[in-house]
Amino acid sequence: MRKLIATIGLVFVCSASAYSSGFSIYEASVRANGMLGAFSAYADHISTIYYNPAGLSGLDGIRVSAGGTIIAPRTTFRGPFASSSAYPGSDKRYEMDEQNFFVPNFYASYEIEDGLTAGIGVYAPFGLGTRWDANWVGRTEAIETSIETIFVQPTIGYQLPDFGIGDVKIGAGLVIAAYGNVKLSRAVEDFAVEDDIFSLDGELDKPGIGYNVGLLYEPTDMVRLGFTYRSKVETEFSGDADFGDLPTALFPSGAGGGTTLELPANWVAAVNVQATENLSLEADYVWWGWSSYDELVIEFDETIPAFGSDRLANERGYDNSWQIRVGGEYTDAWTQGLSLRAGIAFDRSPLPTEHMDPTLPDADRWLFSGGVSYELTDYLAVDASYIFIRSEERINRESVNGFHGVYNTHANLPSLGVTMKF
Amino acid sequence: MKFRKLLAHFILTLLIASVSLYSCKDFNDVSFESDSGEADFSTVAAVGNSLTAGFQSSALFETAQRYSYPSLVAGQMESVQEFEQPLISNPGIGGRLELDGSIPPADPANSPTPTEEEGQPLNADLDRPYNNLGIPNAILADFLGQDLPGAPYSDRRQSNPFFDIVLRDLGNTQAEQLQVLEPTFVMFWLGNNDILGYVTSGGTRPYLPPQEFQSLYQAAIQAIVQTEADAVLYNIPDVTSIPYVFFLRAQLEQQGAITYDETTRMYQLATAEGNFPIYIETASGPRVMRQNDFLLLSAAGYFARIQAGEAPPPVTPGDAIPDSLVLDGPVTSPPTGESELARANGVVQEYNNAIASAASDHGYALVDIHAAYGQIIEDGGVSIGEETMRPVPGELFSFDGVHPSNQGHGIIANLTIEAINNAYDAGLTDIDLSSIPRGIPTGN
Repeated sequence: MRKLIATIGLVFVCSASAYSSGFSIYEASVRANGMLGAFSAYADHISTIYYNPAGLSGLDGIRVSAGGTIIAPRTTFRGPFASSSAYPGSDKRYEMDEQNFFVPNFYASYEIEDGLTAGIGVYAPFGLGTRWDANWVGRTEAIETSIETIFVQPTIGYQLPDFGIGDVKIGAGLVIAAYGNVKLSRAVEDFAVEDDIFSLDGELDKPGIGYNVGLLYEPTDMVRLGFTYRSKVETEFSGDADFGDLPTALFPSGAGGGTTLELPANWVAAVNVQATENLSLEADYVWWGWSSYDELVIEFDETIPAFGSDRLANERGYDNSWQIRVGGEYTDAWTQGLSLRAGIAFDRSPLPTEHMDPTLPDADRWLFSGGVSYELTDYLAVDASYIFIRSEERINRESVNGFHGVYNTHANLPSLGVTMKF
Repeated sequence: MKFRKLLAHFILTLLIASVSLYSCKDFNDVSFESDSGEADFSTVAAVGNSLTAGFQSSALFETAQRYSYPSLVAGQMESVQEFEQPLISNPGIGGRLELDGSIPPADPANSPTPTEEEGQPLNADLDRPYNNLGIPNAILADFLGQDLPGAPYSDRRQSNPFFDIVLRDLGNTQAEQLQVLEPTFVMFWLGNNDILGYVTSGGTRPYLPPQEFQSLYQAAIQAIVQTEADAVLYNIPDVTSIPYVFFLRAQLEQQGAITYDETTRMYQLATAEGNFPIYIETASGPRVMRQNDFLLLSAAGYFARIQAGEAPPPVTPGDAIPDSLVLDGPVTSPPTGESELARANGVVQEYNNAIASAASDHGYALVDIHAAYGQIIEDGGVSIGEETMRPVPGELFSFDGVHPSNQGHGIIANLTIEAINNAYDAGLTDIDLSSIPRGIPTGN
């Protein structure tokens, strides 16, 4: 029986026709990870600062939580297809460099008075890191691409007075992109020189500002409804461009360059049901406003003769996208203080096939998770979770860049953290 | 209790699924089979000289090799697993002609000069023969390692460093390594250098007599027949279709350094004292330069010295342009059949007859480079994307005036694809030439 279930699960995943979500990172809490982020209504952990600030209200005393998730994506490319025209094609398999990313999270809250709690969160909601061999076949498309962000979010949650319709909580936070770094590099083969790699390394100029608001409504003890909106955050990066050995008459050395990334808005509608005393189940619909990422423009501080301009625009053409996240938590399983979690999610890629390239070979994804927490003492709990992500195989025969092939991606995301309550 | 059991089951299932999924890393439902028709593209090999090797601008270097016509063609045959080439890091081996990176490439003052730097072989430890067995400077007799009068194969191999770079110690000849590769499809283009030496030396170095060419070519084809591979053969272009032959004269005319006088039908040198007939040295003595006489690219330095006043102008029979710098053509009035150009064209014609009959005897595809180059010259270029690229150095040809540029290789690759599709009823797709990077050699 067990084997059968596993087999069905496997067939289901391997043949899944899929969809995904750009470079957002929804893994902002070890506990929420266990339920695959189906957390915006449940909100019983301090990381609700990220998932729904309204949940902050009702968290008593002083609470602190810290954790980290390792994201270990593995991507391969096969090709390029003959239709890739100018790329010397083959049925070769190229592996993206194996990189593991550490995504930290930290939350703290303090109950000011009954029903009013203030808190702060530190997390990394956007990020991306792909690196291919400098001599691989797609080197003119992408060698290294990386985006790192750290956000800080001071937040307040408040429970409205009782109107006799059930509990209503609201919350709001100031979303501050406090740290950021972008890197990108690719080869320019118009000139045969020893080092033909163009790279840009930029830091966040000044903090990017946005906000989030949330609402939690409990019509009965059994049901909780949650809604969250996070605004977009505009981030400006600037740094140095490096043109390797490319002719200095066309690619001036010492040029500065920068880019603006509009990190998309999203909203979440969530429903949580307390099925039994121990079991709660939740489903979240997450919408992402990725259409704001329609082009990536690099602006230089001087005219680059090779481009005949001081800007280099790259169409991205992202579409808005969505995710369905379903998760559950079972408390006091076997023994007091042990909670088990599981989740499954589907993530629709905002990236249209024609704009798919090796910088971020995004695809629709299925996500599976399991998690566990154990309360060591009344004050300290240990949280752990594991997420496995399987992307749909994506066959690209229509890239506007002409680089066609097959991409496969999967990722493992173990995470570990602690939650403290005083 | 029931829930607990269910949940435990669920988590366990998830765990098993995760582990299993981890091992099924790639989905494998994509077929890379291209429409190969009656041919088989599973192992592709290319045999030839510098043209096949992807030699450009007097050197063999990685960025040019990547766009060699065999590599581009193999890329269109999706079933090809590995098409390995003897890659050499930039700026390659041979003394690459490079532009100065600090001057815009379009600036006329930015003329290519050879670099002293050298690259290194990048995949010399490949434990099998390369798929691209093109060896710069190879002649037809090199394929089977045949000795020629006064030039045994061992001497030829020893004096050309590219033999060791391409062949290493995995077989003494291209033919031996081809056998080891067990190819299913072969691109074969040799013979250019058997006449090119005569042309680029202004008729002062010998060519391979056509009779010998024919028997050597038949022997070479027999070696390909033995591999049981399908093949595509290439013929030899007209000697006047390479910029090395036609470009300098046109350039000097454009600059006004020389002019063609319609009434006397003579070329004249423009000097401060007026225009004077130009004398060239030929096998039958000095004579004035006429319409069919070509100044080889190797004469560029000679004219630079004349313009600088460092050498006497070739306006008297005694100061005629040396024979080795001129490919003299037939004089039309009174008509004389004998000339270097007429001889070279005749030789090429006979070579090409041998190649054509070999192709038809064995049902191999044939790329008529001779006709294609002629058409490009007649059309004045090829339109690629929004621009027309002319058959001159820096456009369809690399700076050495003999070897095609990346785009030139793209054109040859498309001709190859067309020939294969016709001969083998295959359905290979064309290459979009506008998306091939220029790859202009540049130093700093």
